[in-house]
Amino acid sequence: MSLQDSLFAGFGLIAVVGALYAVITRSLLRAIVALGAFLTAVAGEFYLLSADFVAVVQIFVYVGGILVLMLFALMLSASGVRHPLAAIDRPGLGAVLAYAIGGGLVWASWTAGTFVPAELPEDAVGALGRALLGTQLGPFELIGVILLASVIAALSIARREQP
Amino acid sequence: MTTPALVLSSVLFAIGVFGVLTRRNAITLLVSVEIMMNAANINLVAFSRVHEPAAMTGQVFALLGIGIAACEAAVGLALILAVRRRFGGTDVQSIDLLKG
Repeated sequence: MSLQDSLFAGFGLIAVVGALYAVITRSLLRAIVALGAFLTAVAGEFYLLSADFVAVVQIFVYVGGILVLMLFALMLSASGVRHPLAAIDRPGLGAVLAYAIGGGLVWASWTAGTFVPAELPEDAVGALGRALLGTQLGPFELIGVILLASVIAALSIARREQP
Repeated sequence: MTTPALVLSSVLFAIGVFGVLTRRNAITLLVSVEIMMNAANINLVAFSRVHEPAAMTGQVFALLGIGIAACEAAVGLALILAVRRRFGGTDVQSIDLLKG
């Protein structure tokens, strides 16, 4: 087992434990902090899957942006710090469905055959940039429009109504 | 390392499904949805290495997925604030205006 494999397993363990804790804990603040650990571990997995730029974007956007946004929502709604969350609702049904979906997916990925990773180009980040501004320019432009629309929507939804 | 990544992303997706099905707080629901989106992104990045890595399609799609997740979090959290102002809490069971 090489160093890369052990790192992959370690980050995977952190990700799974963080996600599980975020889903079952009764404190909202702890859920968000566990989500932070999960997102950082997923960034590590991206790096090990030789997607350096995606790993950096994951840290910037998810850990630096979305996580802080969630912390703000937690503080503004103030429902989680002192009052614990309601207990898990219908855990049996959820566990059965999640087990079925997860079991099916794991079985499908396990029996999908072997994949041979091909060689990456020398300048991987440069190739990613050329793809973003070349063949994938349409989706890349669209995502900017969607971001603008969602910011305007968020502002107009969260605005306090005039009395 | 593709198959371990696929297995990991399946497990994470199942955890997200469990969270969406069992939690009642809106912010925890959003956390679970983010876990599911990250599982999908792991899949995209893993396959990017296998299928035409020079074209970088998988990584581009993972980046777009992260962008979509940012939009979704912004709108979702604004909705949560509006719901909290209207119903006094973020429990999704308390939103029953359309109930017959």
